[in-house]
Amino acid sequence: MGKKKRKELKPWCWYCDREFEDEKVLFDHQRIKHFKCTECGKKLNTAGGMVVHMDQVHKMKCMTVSNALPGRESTDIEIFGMEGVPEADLQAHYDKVSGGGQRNKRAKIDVSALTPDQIKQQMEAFKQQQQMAPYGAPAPAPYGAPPAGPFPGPAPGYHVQAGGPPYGMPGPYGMPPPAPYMPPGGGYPYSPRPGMPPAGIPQYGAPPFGAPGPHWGPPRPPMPVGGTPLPPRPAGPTPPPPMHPMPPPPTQPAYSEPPAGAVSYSDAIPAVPEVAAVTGPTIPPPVSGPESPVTPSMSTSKAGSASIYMVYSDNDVSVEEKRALNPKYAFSEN
Amino acid sequence: MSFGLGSTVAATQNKDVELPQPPSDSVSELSFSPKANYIAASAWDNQTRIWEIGPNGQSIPKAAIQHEAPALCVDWSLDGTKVLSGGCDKAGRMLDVTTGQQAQVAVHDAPIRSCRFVEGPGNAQLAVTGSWDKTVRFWDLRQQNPVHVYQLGERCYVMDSSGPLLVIGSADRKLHVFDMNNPSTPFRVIDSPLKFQTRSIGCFTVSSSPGFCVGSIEGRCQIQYIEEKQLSSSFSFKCHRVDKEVYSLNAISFHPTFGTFSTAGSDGTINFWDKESKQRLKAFPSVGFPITSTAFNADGSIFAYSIGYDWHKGYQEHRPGSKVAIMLQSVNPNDIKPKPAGIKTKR
Repeated sequence: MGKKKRKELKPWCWYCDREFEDEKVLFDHQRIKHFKCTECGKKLNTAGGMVVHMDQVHKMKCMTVSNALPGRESTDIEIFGMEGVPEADLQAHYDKVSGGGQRNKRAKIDVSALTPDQIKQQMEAFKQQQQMAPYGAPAPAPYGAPPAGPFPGPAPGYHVQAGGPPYGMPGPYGMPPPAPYMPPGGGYPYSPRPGMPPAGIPQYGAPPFGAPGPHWGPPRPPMPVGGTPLPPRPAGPTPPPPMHPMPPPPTQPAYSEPPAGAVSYSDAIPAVPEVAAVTGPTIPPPVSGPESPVTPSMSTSKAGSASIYMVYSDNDVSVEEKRALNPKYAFSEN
Repeated sequence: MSFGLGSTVAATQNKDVELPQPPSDSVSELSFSPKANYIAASAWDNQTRIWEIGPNGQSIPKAAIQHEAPALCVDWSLDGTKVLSGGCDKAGRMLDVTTGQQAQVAVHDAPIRSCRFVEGPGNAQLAVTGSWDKTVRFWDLRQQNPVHVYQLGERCYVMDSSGPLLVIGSADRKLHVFDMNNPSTPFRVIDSPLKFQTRSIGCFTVSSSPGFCVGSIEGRCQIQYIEEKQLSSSFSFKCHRVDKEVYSLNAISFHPTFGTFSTAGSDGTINFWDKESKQRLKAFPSVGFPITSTAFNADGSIFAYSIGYDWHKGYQEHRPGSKVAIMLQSVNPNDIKPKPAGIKTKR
């Protein structure tokens, strides 16, 4: 699954093992190289889209992704940019790129039972941490804090340090990274650090499967914040969301949410939106321009249109007419 | 190049050649002779100038038409012998480049904003002038009075023609489409499909499906087909927007042979487009100053564009003496050639 937390990892195309400077370029590359209909040249966003297009428009069965490396021609894997890349491949690529087995696991988990106060406290620490290392610690734990009960680890606030490496991912990843915090029988490979604040709070936790490209931070799907909307990804062979196996027993009803709806910002934590702004670099800054008349046609345009404005907006008079009124250009009848 | 914006221009457009002795104020319109490499430019300094462009890009000023107020428009006759220019002095003045004779051939009650030579019925050459007096007048150049006066109902803002097609945009966002085989009544009058002020028009009749391209002040461009069965193929797209800023689309020029076209905007950028494949062929970096007008020469090998303030931020942003230039670009065919349909890029 595409995890966007690896800032040092350049956008990279799973199909042809090529790196790009910019995720946008990667999207275009994939549209052009891999998701282009061989019949009419129409470019689709995903392999699945191409299959559907070929099937419906050309009545053809599309089985392979063009220009892909051997073994990666499958149209079954739904990939958009870095989204949907099998975790094992992503990790392999990452290892290759980083020149070694250094695992740069970020803090992702906080499965402790917390009181609102604790959460607030941790939020503060988290924010500070964010400011120190803007990309440091996204992906907190998903959803309501389960009770510490089922977890063998130290109850309050065990977590992984932001930016800290310290736990070895087990083997090839049949499961996405959050797997380790599934209620296991075994000990956790990472060590608790009681003194450290957790790297996140449950409520706005971005489940690692959800965050697209640069939007890690607030969970993607129901969020209307700006950014390029990604096409929906039907559940393919990608592993199921890791949180389902989570034991859901909420000890704190106010903070526990059912998994599917877990994206709500809890009113009890006013700091959350701020943090969202801190952690989500792609969230557009607040609209500033008082001189920003939102025009009707623009409101129909795509994301982020709220603050665009016309540099010349007088619909009734042309610039030439205004210019001609200037004394410099005046015409005397004589 | 020692101009106010010389560094910017030189840095981004260093291959383009600048016309010598440019106007002292913004160019309002550029027009290439359909027969030879002569270019005419009307300008806000009351003059319309004509240059001859040599085979190596070196240019020589040849002639000028003097107005008593800013010149707003210019066009060449179809045979390449005459230049008509209109201006704020409400006069349409014509220069015969073969004889050097100059005469006033058109008059309006308000500044003449746009003018075109067209071929009327019976191959008669007509001059068409559109004015802020809300009329369009057709002149046969022999009589003092217009052969036909068309009431636009609003001020004329822009006009373009190609073959028998003449399209006039007025201040009320109406588009008046004329078939010059019948100049006395418009073929069709439609509301502009764009929601904002019509700023530029480019007609195309080279392709099998004639139509025109409309640009508005809202950085948007509409490809409008004319024939009934093509109407539904019309479409619009956004362009000339920088981050949150939406600029006027100041000029549209069609390539004479490929049927592809250029758009230029107040943002200082020029784009080449292919309407068939709905694809941008080329995006040039901003020259740092508005592009006021563009033109292709007769065989499409030279692309000319004028740099100058277009008043889109009003008087307060006007810097007297700021950069005015007419640049010539040797067109790389790969930049303007249509690309096969279907490889549309995501915009």
